[in-house]
Amino acid sequence: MARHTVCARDDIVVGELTPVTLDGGISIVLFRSQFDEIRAFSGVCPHQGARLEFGCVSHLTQGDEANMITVDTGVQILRCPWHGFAFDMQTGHPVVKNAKRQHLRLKIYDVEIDNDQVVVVA
Amino acid sequence: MPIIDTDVHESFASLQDLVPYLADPYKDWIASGAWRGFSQPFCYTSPGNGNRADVKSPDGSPSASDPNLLKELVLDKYDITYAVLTGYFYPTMLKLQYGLASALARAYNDYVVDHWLTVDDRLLGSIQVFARDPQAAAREIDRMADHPGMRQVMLPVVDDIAYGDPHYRPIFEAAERNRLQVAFHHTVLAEGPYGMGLHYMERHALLPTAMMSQVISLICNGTFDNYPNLKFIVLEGGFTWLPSVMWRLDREYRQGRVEVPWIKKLPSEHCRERLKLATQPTEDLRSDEWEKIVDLMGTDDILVFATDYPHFDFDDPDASIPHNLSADLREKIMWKNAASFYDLSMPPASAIAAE
Ligand code: FES
Repeated sequence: MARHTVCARDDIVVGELTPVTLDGGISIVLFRSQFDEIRAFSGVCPHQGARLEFGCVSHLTQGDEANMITVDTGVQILRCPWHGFAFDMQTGHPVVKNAKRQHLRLKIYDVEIDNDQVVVVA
Repeated sequence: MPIIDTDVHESFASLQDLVPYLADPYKDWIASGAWRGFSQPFCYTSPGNGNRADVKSPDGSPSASDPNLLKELVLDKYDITYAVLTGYFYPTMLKLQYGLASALARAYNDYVVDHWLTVDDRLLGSIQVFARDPQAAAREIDRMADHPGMRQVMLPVVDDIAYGDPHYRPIFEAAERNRLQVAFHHTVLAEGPYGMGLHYMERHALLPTAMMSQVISLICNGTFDNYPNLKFIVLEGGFTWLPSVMWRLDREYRQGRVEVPWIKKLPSEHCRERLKLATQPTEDLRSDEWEKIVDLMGTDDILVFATDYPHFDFDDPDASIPHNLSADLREKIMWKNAASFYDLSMPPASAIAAE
């Protein structure tokens, strides 16, 4: 594991996906939530490799009745810009699990803030 | 080996057979010949005009109207343990005169009880409904469900209904509260995505696409999720397409769950757990091809045997399912899968001996 200082904390705009490349070429996307928490995800979708910096962050939809959709603001998801697979941003697990196929978990990296600098551990 | 035939078509000799079971004004309408009944909008091209040409009633009436002929040619000949009557008169094909259509469904069910279900304990029934009026259909299901021979609700596949539409929910609710299963069978109105085509062969080859559409509609609109105790059976709609539909739906769900969060399981899991597909017409697969298809389905619990008597594309129980399939798989197709679907067990030996 190495610690990579990637940018200043304030370089990351709340609500946006910010791409960075670590030494060694690992692609990362950083996301700063409205609660000011910064998280780091693999920048490459585990499905077919789309660049997740072009994805979108939203909330999980829920509903037990057809045509009645609600939004669960407690679960934030990252959706891939290509096929739209959704990943839970807390765990990296796919929202739709398919035990008979590749699991497709999105890798999450530890983030530390050091002197207002964002440090990704990878 | 015990056998369940999941698709046997009974019929009346003429629409007039329903007159005793109708109330006025519809009794009068039908008795006076004001309607001649349904007819297919095409010519059959098989030697028996849609039926097996060797099936002839002694009185010359349509072959499917004689339960004794069914006993002789199917139940006794092949030692069938149970056969499920699936009808051939589907009032849902009427697109107007809803009161008449619901009354015809009711009359037909009473006719089937009197003329068929009482004739032989091996016969089981399907409750026919007029699906375009789901509340009336639900009342008819409630009325008929107590008959011990009735095991399922028949939803006929026509040209303008996808049964996942929430409009049809009262039917599924009624089936579930009465512990019935739900069957789908095409009618002479069923068609593919661009209509029936221009030839009988074309129309017949398109029928599986109508059934694929129904399964997709039921899954996407939450019918499997809303009625967890219901199971579904697709008759005469092919089966080799199921792996493709399951893969496709799973993939669509992964990318599109945001729009359909009421689907709570992978569509393939719903299919594996609660869907049966009847084998007829068997498409002449070799045994290794049967095994590949079952392998691709991911379970050997789905396929159930059917003859489709008396229709021309009848599958012979001895010839249509290869004998060199594994004994387990053959037993599942011929008996176990349908027995679990309809909650049937072997009749007592004494009952068999008395036949
Ligand atoms: S590449 Fe990301 S969902 Fe397909």
